[in-house]
Amino acid sequence: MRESLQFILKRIFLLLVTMILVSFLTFLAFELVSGDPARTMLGTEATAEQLSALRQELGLDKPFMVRYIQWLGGFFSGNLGISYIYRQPVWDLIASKLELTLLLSLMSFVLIAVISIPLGIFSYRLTGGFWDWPRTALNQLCMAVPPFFTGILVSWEFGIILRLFTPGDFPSLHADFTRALQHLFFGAVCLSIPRIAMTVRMMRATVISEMNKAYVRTAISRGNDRHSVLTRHVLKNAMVPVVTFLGQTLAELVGAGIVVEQVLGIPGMGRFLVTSISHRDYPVVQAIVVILAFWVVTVGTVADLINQFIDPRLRASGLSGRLGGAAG
Amino acid sequence: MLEIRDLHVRFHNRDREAVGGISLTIGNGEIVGLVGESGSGKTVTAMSIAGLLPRKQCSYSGDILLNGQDLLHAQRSELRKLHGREIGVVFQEPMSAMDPLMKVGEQVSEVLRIHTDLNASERRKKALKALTEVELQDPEAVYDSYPHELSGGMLQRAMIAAAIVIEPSLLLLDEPTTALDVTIQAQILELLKKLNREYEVSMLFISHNLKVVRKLCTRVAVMQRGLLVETGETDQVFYHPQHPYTRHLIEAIPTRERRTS
Amino acid sequence: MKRKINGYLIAGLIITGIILIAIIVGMFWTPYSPTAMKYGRFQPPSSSHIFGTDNFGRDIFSRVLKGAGTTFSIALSTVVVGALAGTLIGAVTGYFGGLADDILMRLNDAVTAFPSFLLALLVVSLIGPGKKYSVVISLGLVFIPSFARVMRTQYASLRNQNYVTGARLMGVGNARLLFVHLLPNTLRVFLPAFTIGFNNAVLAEASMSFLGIGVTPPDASLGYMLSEAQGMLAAGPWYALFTGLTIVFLVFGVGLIGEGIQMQNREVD
Repeated sequence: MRESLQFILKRIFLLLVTMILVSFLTFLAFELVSGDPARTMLGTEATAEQLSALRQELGLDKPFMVRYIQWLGGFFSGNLGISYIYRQPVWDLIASKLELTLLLSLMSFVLIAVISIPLGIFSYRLTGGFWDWPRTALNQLCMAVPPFFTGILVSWEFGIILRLFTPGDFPSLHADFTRALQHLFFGAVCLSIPRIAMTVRMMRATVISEMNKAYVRTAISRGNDRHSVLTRHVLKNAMVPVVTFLGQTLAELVGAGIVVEQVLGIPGMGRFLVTSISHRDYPVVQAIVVILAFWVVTVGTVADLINQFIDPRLRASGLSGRLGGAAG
Repeated sequence: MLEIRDLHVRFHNRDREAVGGISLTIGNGEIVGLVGESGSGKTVTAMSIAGLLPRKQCSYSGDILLNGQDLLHAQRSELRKLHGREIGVVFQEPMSAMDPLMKVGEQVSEVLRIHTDLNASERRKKALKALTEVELQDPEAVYDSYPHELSGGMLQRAMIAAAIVIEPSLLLLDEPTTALDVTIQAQILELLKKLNREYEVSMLFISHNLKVVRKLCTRVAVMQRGLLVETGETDQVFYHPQHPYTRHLIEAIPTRERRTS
Repeated sequence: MKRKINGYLIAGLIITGIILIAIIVGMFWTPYSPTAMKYGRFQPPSSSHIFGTDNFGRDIFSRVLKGAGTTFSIALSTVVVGALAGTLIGAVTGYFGGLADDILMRLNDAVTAFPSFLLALLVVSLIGPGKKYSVVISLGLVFIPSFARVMRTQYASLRNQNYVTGARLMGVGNARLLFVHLLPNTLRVFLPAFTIGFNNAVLAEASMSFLGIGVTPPDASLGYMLSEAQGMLAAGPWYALFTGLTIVFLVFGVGLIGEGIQMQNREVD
């Protein structure tokens, strides 16, 4: 128990360090690359006085480190800055979008987890024999189907033809929960398909590699049948790399959701990030990037905690499920 | 009790037979040693008895009878009832032979779960008794431990406990002491002798280490390249080896140790 | 050692080969001009227009041919950039090890943790979107860590092989050793990684172009064409359908090649 506590504390520390590092780097990057935000906001017609007034208002006349520390302080007290474009607090702008993106990612994740694990086992059972090549071909095919393509097909088939949802018109989550959920569901399915294929493949490979281990032979020698060997021994052992993999999937789902949001007209954070990038709305980009860093580290930590629960060997040293990785 | 008749095993990807016609019997309560170098076919023979041959990758013929029951050609489902129940197996590397994510105690009682109707607390009691039998100091602690928390010697004792907890007729031991320290080796051998006496369980002890076989086994069978070249009472074979290969193996033992009786 | 070239490899090579041939042909000749808007709007697939026409009256098949070429060349450049840089880093860190290895690998882990697509977006935004090279550079950068990790593992494991020690004793220089002697031995692992990287590059570039921050006209790639096609869905799905299917088949074909290579590797074991 003590070790878990230590581990969590270490991870929180890592989380803070990562967020600070990421925010600093992006702040620095924007500093070096961006033009004059005041000019961007006011346009080319602005006079010198207008520009310097705006700069003062936005605090752009202060030196770099001062601005960064100010931003950092603001961030941890809930103030994410003011959008250059919208002149509104960033948090107000992204809160509802963040909700949607998270919901989309979580729905997709649940689909992936719930479908891949049994499918992975089933795929393992099919190894060898007639179903080998159809199974592999189908797997590769599913991995080749990009979410934005399925998104287009889905919005055409279900949206235009079947009118199950209206692609361009996304109902507010609070206003019409079920319809919004339905709309999100289509997006989740599109996101999931290639990832389910990848996870199934991974799971199957893991089970196969576990089956070749010595303890399986022992289990058979005791009289376990194939089913028992799988359910009582192998599955648990196979879960550790799978949990790590699923964690990575959840972390990158938020990024991958961007395109689906675009295709299906879901006003999520990803889409907002893209528009903010093209409009050089750096406060927004900064805030979103740091939130994402937070998300990634948190998800990774949860995955590691789950693995520690499954595999007692991982508890003492605070390692994650990265046993048996690269040499060294 | 165990009878092997003209066993042939050949793996599909090899030219020569792994086992080229062996016949061997093990009587009740006997400890028979099966010696030979790597590649002699001794492990394959053991795996044939234990029903662990990968049937799809080899072809085999002959008979293996346990108290008259066919082990070699029977259906998997039939054999499963015997595996663990009448035949217990102890493997070479205890650390990898155990499921790393299952408590040691539960692995010890696993055969009971599979082959008997005992409930959980009864199984636990028997497992604890078995762990005591194999001379582990704190059976309760061992029961609740995971494999990586125990030393090699302790784990091997636990593996033995797992095999005898159900009182099988035959114990197959495939190089059980090879991965252990010499001092632990001696202890395990004594333990096996004791178990053999108390439970009257027959044992087939496989090893390339003649010293160890000499200490433990009443009879010895020597294998070379899939063939049985010599069998007999241990002392007979050691002091009056008939076959040149046997002599060759004995001569490989350092002289001082050879004379220990 | 029996060596049969397995079915996946063959199938993959055939599928990819067909697309590749079509692309090469398309570089010199297309049935119609890809940009001319005079073939009648929204015609469904027919014998004169295999894929039909879009809402500007352009022949879809010709557009797809050109677009596939753009997509293919960008993806290839990207994965080559990532593979070269990544292999260099991986070879050096894997072979020499030490402090630099530790630091670089930690850095590597940190970068891979972040959603790669977003990383690419960020880099593109910093460089300036819209041009081919910005896509290639940003995606290439994002691919470096995975190649570095894979190659590092390979080089680290090969480091202690006997022939390496022998070569060093003979005085073979490090650079030569790393790239002339050891590199061919890493091909088993490198090639599947390359195919996977290529596929990821195709999908990533398509996504970026779809969002409007990848390539823009006149360099239309399949991704950009899909974003165009989305607006035309109500009238007819042909543009979207065939563009998307081309992407799918390209990725599918290359994926089969990767799968086939891995299967070959397993058989040799």
